[in-house]
Amino acid sequence: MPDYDAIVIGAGLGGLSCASLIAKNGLKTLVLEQSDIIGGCCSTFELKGYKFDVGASLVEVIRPLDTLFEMLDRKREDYIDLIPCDPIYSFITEDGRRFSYPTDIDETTKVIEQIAPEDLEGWKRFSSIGIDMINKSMDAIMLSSLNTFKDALLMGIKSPEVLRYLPTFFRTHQGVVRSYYKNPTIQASVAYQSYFAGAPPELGSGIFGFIALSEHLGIYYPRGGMIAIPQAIMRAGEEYGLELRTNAKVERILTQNRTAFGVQLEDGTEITSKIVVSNVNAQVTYLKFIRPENLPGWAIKGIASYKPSMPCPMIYVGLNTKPDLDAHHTVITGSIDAMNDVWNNYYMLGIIPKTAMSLVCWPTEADPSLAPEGHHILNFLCNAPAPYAPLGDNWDRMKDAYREEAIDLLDKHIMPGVRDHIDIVEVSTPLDFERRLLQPQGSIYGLFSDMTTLAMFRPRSKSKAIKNLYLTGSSTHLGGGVPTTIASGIVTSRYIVRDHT
Amino acid sequence: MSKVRKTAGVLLLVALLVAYMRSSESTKRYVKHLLKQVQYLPYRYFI
Repeated sequence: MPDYDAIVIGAGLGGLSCASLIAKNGLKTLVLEQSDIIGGCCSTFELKGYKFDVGASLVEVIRPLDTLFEMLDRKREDYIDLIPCDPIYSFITEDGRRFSYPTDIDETTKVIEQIAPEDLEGWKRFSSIGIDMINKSMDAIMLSSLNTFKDALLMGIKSPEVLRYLPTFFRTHQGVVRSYYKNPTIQASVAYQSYFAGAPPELGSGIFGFIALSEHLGIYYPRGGMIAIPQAIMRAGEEYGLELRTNAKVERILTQNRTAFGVQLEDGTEITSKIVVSNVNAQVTYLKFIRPENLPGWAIKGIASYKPSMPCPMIYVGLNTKPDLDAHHTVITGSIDAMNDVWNNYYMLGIIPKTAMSLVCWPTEADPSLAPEGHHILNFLCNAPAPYAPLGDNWDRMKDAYREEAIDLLDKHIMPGVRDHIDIVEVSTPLDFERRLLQPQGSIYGLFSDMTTLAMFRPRSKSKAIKNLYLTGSSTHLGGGVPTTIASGIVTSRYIVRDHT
Repeated sequence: MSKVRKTAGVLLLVALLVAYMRSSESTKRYVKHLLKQVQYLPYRYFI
């Protein structure tokens, strides 16, 4: 008799969403988390009174989160307080111009009219098509399984209106952006989202060109920090008997005759279960936890063929003053060509680019309780690809120097004089992210995402190589991000409920 | 018929080659990237 019906490895959003749903469906479920805190990339840690978010910095497209709580027969509002953030982004261009996009589409139209009247028509087309596409694809794509051609065919039959947007999937990100906008500043303000999918605009799928637009449906910050989301899901799951063990590092997944039947922890403890769900990166799951000798050849070739998305270091800054910023998120953008140049001529050659392209998150704007009174937090994500193995160096060795360079960028481009107000600075390098999140090369956006690694070409939610093994999280389904990883947990739970209840 | 097909095939190939040669460096990198990935698609589909 196994110890549990299901063991879920990793308490990230995908793992917790899946675990809480299968617990609700009567499976005795245990979540194992290697860290002392839950949430993975969507988490918060405390240092000297400041609560810093590990990676994820807001929630956009809250429909999957609401759907999850509906499926748990709970009201999301009873578990999380989501604070609306408006404007959604403030942009600083390479030449120092600043402007913001409000949530409201009509208000954004006025902003575009001021900056680039020639792009007004393009923006109107982009927003009308994009919002329609996002609304129609929510159930058909985001909350449905797309693991096989059959799934795709069924989706096409059930939601034929989505098919008209299929060509977008095959175009490049920059192709989509340039087909709507002529002005380089407006192009840049939409194209930088390509890096969020871990690819430059010339390689990323055109479908990601609409991420920026999805934020006009509203962006939110959870009161208490990003960890409030996994904590809320865990709390709802616990009401159905879900169990959690932190500081429990899994060494391998136990298999016999290509069937999973439990896990072995680092300390040698074995815990058995009818099924195993991995919320850990699919490459780590197959190549480290299952191990190549237990996999068929085609599975090794398939899983090894994926590339990680780009790593990005992150700097966490505690300030003794209020920063002079306009929004929860401030983005320093470069042109589309500059983004491609950084990828091809720096990142691919192992060189850390000297660029100011970055994303600065100001969480205390929404929730001042995250810092001591009168103090603030800036989470500074260097949103340009930084090689995992910089030429002739190592991230552990260069951590201090990198921190100083990042503060210089902050000082020069975003907040002059910031050095005089810094209370505390912490850095997470790609190596730190790799150790903390088990993402190969510290790739916080998961697997590299382009049209050859999406939908049915991404690792399946239900493993075909190992029986009773299921996967969830950013390396499955639609990739990284709060809504997409929650959606992946929902999709995986449906397979498990169908197969095992 | 076979000769017509062969000629059409060769013409298509030449047209694709010309289109590739005349495309921007960025498009060439995209095409090269996709061609490199094609070999993995059958394996990725099943994993």
